[in-house]
Amino acid sequence: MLPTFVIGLREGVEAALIVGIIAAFLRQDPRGRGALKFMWIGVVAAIGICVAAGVALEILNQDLPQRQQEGLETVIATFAVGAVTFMILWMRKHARTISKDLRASAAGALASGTTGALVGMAFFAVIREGLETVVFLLAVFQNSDSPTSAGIGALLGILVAVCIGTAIYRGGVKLNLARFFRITGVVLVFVAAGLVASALHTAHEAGWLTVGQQQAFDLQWLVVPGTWTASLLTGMLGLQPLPVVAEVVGYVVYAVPMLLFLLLPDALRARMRRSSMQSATTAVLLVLVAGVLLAACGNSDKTVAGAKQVAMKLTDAGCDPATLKLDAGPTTFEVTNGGTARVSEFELLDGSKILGEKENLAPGLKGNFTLTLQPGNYTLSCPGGQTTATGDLTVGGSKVAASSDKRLTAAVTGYQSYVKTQAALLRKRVAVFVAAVKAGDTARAKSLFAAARFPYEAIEPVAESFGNLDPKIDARVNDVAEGDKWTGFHRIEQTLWQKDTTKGMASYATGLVADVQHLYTLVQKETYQPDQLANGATSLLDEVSKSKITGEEDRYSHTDLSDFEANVNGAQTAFGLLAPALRDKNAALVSNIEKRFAAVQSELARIKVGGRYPSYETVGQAQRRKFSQLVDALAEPLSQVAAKLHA
Amino acid sequence: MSPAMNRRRFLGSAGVAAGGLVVGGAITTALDGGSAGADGGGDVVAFYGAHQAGITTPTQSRLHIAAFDVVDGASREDVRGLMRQWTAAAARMTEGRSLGDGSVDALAPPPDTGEAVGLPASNLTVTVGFGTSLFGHGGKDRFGLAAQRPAALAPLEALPGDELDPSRSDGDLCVQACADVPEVAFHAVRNLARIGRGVVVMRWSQLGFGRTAITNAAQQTPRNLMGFKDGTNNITADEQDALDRYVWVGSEAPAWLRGGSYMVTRRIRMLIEVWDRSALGDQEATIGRVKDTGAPLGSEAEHDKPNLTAKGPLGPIIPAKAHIRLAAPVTNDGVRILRRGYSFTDGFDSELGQLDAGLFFVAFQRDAHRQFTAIQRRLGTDALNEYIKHVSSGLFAVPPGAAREGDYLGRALFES
Repeated sequence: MLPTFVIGLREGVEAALIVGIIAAFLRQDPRGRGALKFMWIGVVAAIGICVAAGVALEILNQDLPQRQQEGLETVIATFAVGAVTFMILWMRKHARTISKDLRASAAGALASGTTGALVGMAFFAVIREGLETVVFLLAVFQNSDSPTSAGIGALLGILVAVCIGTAIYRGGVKLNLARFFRITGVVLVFVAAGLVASALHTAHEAGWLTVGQQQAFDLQWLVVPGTWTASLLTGMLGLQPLPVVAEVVGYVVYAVPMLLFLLLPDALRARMRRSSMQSATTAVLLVLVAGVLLAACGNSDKTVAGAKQVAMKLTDAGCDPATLKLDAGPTTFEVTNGGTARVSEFELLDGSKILGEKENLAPGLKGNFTLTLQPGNYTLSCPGGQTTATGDLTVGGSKVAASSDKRLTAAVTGYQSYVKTQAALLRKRVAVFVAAVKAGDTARAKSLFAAARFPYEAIEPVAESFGNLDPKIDARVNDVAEGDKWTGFHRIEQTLWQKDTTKGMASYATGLVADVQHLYTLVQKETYQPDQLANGATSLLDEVSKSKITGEEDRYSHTDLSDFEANVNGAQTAFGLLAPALRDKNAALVSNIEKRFAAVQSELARIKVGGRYPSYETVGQAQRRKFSQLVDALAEPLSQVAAKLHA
Repeated sequence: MSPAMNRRRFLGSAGVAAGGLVVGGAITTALDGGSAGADGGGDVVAFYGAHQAGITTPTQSRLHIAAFDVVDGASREDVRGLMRQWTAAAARMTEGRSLGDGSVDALAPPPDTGEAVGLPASNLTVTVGFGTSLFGHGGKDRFGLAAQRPAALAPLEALPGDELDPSRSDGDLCVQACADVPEVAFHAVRNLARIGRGVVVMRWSQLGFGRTAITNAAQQTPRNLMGFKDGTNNITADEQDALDRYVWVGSEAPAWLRGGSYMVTRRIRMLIEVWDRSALGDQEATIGRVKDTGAPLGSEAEHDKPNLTAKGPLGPIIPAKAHIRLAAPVTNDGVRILRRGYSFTDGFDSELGQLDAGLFFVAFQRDAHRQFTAIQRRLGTDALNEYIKHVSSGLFAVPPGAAREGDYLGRALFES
């Protein structure tokens, strides 16, 4: 609420100031009085255009698929940051003289007898400030948990601005404009820095930014979702509970120079201006260093699911081992510097061509790279080694065809981004659900439960591949291993429905947010094999058979059908991505599976009432049997997909 | 070992290695090729032939029977395709071979479920029937077969003692699998169900664990769960005239069914607890036989013809309401049926806290309405009704056999 208030207030004051001054001029002049009416029409029209622009942008955004949506949000946020930065900088310079300058140009316009120019000036002033406000507000709205309070904040800000404008116009109030713009400027720097961070975040979700996605630090102790301090910190300062490196760097790189520029005394600034070239150079260097660091971080510790792990140690002698025999297939080389200062690099060569390498490994450091090995003879190279600077790798087995099919590569990439999108959605919805839990709003928490789980269920096999993460997020009471604590969705579900309260759930809610964030971070770097997509799809349907149709999954809330749909959607997406490659090999299988997916989906749609699923308790035996048999009919041919891909 | 390895060959080699320790009789047959005859040790019943196996072929000791419904949206072509697949798979399993072409792919589920690998063919027979609903259901002729429906496939009328559960009665298709080893019968139904997934769904299924009738004069008459010898007067495979007259459908039926038969299935629950506390004399009077020897009351030996006219001091020696009197052909204008039932138990009836067991009655005949229904109507006054209730019922037209490899069950129907 506060950030939007400040935005509304500040932009409003700017516009009101201009309009007020022009209105005062027009009133003074007999010729101008007639033009006053036109000025107000112009102002109202300008406001209308701005509102329309805002609505149009938002509608456009809503209609876009998730990834493009994230993309547009990035563009809007970048635009807003640009606009607000320009405004801050310009005002810093002109705040003290703005009234005087305006009056001078208004007087000029009047003297030349063109009231039309004054009307136009008012119109353009409002439209400029208005568009700025709209873009800025939109960006802030998209990052706000509560659009309503953000909207109220903006309206209040504009209202107060109009009052101030009126007061100045009537001459009753003398505002220290320089100080007003400086203070609001500081607030806006933080808001804009927050926007920089969120633009980097959405850019990542749009797939534009891939480096620096490690968690920088844990601010969950400070920013507890659902509390007023959290609203203040996230709203005003743009602080997120679990920021990633890229976001932190962006925030600091923007906020620090801007604040210095705004707050340093004029004398100091004057001196700085002389050395502005130097500081610009410094800034560019800083950004470059940060970028390099991020790139370095981004490339390390990347393990590829399904790939074979091979250890390679750098020693004074060279490569250890110096001869390797491996089977063809995806392979990850885990390279460790075993304490040698002579060798810091490992390369895998096919003749003179480098297939993969790891450089700059100082003693104690490690890194890895992954590639798909084809049968043949290769050279291991550890430059600088005394005896085994080169070694031999013999790859046996049969040629790995999967990676050569571009459509399979596309399928795998598509699935990767699907998983990321779902993980992002999960994080968003869990935050809202958790906020309701922490706010003690049991009814709201119940109403949000099924939707919050939905993205998780869509990508469950991926989540399950991360060891103990799935048990922490999604264990049912009877799944909890001895000695483990029961946490996650179902722990909260039990209390919500059986005890009809949120009491005692705050710590579980916090834990859920952290686990979901962890999942989100992990899937950013996860890659997949075509087989995993196929088997994942089948295992999603197995989930349906085993725990949804039996009603065991959501035994307290009975929202099993929502999970059911999510599982089927996840399976259908994975299969749909494989279908283009599979169709060439077995068109009948593809159309058979498509037909059976449709049968399951239409049966699910049939049971939906008003867009919602009934409680699973009310689903009768015959209907459950029908679901079960439809899923079995689908899963049977689906289980053939993995093998057929290789046929 | 390869899942597609011939089970007989495996058993042969294993048998040699193990010095004949495993299932002696079956190994011998596997080694010397064997000849048919369930109790004689042969273990492969011919699948192809004029009639389907599992009717007059010697009764095996185990049953797994299941009914299926064709799913909404499946076409006549889908059902026809299924019959092709089922026929080929049934022929293969009958020979004791696993499904699939023998290739092994770690990425795919195995084509055969595998539980019968290493077991002998066990005289497996697979018999397929078509239910009334396949020829039109609820006023809808789903597969364009209504014109081919024989008159005798009309639903059975309500009969005395019926307490039928519709959900475990009838069905579009029926598969009767019988074998001497329970896993082999189960394996057959399971794999056919798997092949059918997406085209058919299982409607009901029943396991039977002991034959209650014989179709071969050389076989010992078994006892049912009441402890009595049953099926003594059954039609046996060597009674060619009786088979033609009472079992095989003739020119009265549409061409596709000639040489076939009608199968009636009845799940007859025995009230075991009540039966067990009734006096031996009452039990024998109820059945009309001596419990120990199986001889009709008033006669010496099991196979003696029941003397229905003999009188004792208290009236007829075989009482008026005795089961064998009411079921005897002479009481029913000479009408006979070929019975092939099995004892069953589904364990425990948790609602009543009693054993859930009885007779899964299976009978083949030329016209169920003239044969089964007529006898069963007569049995309305059967003293046995105190101890039993009929809880499910099915009627299926069993087409003639597939002639040779490449032919399939019901071809004449689907290509008509």
